[in-house]
Amino acid sequence: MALRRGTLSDLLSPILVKELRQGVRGNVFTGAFLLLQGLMVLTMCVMLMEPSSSQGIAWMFWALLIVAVGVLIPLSGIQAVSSENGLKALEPMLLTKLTARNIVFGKWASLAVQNLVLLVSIAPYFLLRYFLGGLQFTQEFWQVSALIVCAAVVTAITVGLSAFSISVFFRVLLCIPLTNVAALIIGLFATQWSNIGTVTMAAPALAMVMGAFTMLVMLEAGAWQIAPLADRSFAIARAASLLLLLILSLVLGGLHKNVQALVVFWAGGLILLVIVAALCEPQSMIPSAYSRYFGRGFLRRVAGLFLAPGWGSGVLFAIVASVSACFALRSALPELTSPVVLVSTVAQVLLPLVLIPYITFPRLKRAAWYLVIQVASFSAGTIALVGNGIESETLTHAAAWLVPLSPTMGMAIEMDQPELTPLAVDTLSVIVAGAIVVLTVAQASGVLSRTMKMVSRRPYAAPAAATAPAAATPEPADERVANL
Amino acid sequence: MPLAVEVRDLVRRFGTFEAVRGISFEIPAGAVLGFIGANGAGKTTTMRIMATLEEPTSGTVRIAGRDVTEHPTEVRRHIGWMPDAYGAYPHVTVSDYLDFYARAHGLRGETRRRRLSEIVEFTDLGRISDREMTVLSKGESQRLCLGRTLLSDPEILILDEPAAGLDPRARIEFKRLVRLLAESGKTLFISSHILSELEEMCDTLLFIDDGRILHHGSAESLKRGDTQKTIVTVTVAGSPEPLREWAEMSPGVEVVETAAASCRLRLESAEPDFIADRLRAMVGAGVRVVDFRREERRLEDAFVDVLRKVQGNGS
Repeated sequence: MALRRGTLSDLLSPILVKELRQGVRGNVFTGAFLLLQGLMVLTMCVMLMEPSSSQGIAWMFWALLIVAVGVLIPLSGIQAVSSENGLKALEPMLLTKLTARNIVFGKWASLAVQNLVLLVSIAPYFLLRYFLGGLQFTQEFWQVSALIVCAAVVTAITVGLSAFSISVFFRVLLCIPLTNVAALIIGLFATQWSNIGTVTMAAPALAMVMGAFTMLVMLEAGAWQIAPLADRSFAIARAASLLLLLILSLVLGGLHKNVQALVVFWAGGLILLVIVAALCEPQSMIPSAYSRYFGRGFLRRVAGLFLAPGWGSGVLFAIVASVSACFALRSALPELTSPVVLVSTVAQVLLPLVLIPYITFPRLKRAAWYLVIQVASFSAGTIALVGNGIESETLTHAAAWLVPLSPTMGMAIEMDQPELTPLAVDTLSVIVAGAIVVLTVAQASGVLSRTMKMVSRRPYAAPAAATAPAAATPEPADERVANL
Repeated sequence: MPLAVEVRDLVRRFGTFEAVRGISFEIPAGAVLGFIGANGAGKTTTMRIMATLEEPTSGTVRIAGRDVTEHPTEVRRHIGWMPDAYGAYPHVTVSDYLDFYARAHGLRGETRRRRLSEIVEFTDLGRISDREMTVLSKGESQRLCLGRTLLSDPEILILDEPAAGLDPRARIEFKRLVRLLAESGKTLFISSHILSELEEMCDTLLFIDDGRILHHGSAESLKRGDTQKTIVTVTVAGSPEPLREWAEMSPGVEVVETAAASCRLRLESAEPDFIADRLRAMVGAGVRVVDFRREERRLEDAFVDVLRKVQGNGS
């Protein structure tokens, strides 16, 4: 048997080695490579015969590159993890030393490397264009950089989504809004070759930071989907969100208005996704899932309060993230840091958690209920505005009493159109918002305290000897995974 | 002897459906246990919990002394899980596949090469190592899957329907490998539908039905059951009709099966006097007996009897 004499490959992740071996023999890569080379040769021939057509050739050159590197390879990631599941290969892999995170990140890395190989393979054509004329070096350098970041981010989105147990159709459907991120990346990089804002490195640097954050969130979400219950954790995405908010609160004020708008839109959407995921994460009752968060060490325990799996710590994380987001945006909207606004924002984020425990029918996923309640809450808060818009006094007065059901709408109306709601409604809005925060924090504290007790009762100590008697009585039925 | 597997009051529910209903059993280290049950009996769920791929609703499962929910990572180091089916990767050869899993188990450099050689030799995959996985026969695929399971040198092997779909030759080869593994001191937990095969390979059998254990013991004790009934096959000259008529009229005799020139009869006692008495009565009644053979009770019959008994108790 021709055994592999792995040297360099020993240093790489096993999944990356396997995916690269499989990927470069696959039809997508081979097809993209051959097609790209063929068309590039053709393009160069046209350029040699018609030197005056360099502008048109540049367009064709870029169109080919974008299709191969920005579309074909990233889209092949849409089945990256689900194909493993289809082959029943995920579970045997998870029984090795590979973690769900290793698997998802390895699949992404393999596609990213294949993309880089494609890019390197067209370097000679860049060189040829340089000598033949028609290459705008600085502009095309930034365009290639934007393409690399876009391709990496879109690949992470497709690979992350491929881990969700939904049909390919729904995956593609979800991909469409998420891949708008590519437009945001190009928007930020475009500051280097267009007249948007001042020519500084801040925008591309931010695009790379935001791109890295998007990749991390999507790949972590994918890993969460396939990880065994005891290993599921969204802690890295939560920690990265807090770090990003810190960075944004430091740099956002100094950015050009257009860049600021792009970054706020992009970061806001992603951090909101992480907050919803944190608030909807099931509270597993498996001790090993928490041992690394609530083990020994004060700092570790404090971090665990915000990052440990489950919605209990998710509540504390959501509070910190919402408040940090308000502070990050203070340069654009200084009123966001007033205590009433902060409480209203946090209350709006936490509102569904007060209601979800009392909903028993119909059986929907926690995240679905979260979204339904948020939509209902905003709708209730908007009716008074609609009444005012159509100049119906009766509707406006009646609907004003629904405003407390939407803390942020209540706060917005109070700031923009204070005459729309009576004083009693304003007072009620503040009381409701405060009550939501207090109630949810109390629920979360209870859950966290039970979790910490469970971990301290069963410390993650050295395992018992093979002959040791059976463990203590297990948790009662149906308590291993509890939504609440 | 230390215990390799300890299962206590294991329950697994999926919504309102209870797949496993409070089963308990133990497997000593080095034993080979056959896990038998119909489809949907709870076999695969139990095995998946043992392999840390599912969480129990309640109860404990300890593998090599470690609780599967408290120390899943530790447990994974001790087990090798061979699922009932696995797909073949396109564009991946047998050697690439084994190489990937060896790396995934953390084997590096010379250790990996040595281990791969051992596995290839043990499972006889050397001739097909450069073949793509997609063109392997069922037998070759199963040997490859077993090889992958053995890469980390686990003490406990959980094999889910390993012989399903194999041709007779591949089945014999697979049995040989299982025997070798048992001789090397591994603990084997094998599920199968093919009872005779399990009887040959396993020290003990565990029958499960509807999430409950019906029998845990040796194949002999299962075949013996709690009755002393005996099966005899009587071959006659000409039609078996007179024999069947006689059997239906005779006390303590029941017809199990009728063939072209023979009948299988169940006698209510295994006492030699009783058997001799019935034979004498049969011949006396004019049945032209040419062969009278006492049968070993088949495992399938024992299984059906146990099921029938449980269903009878249930109704």
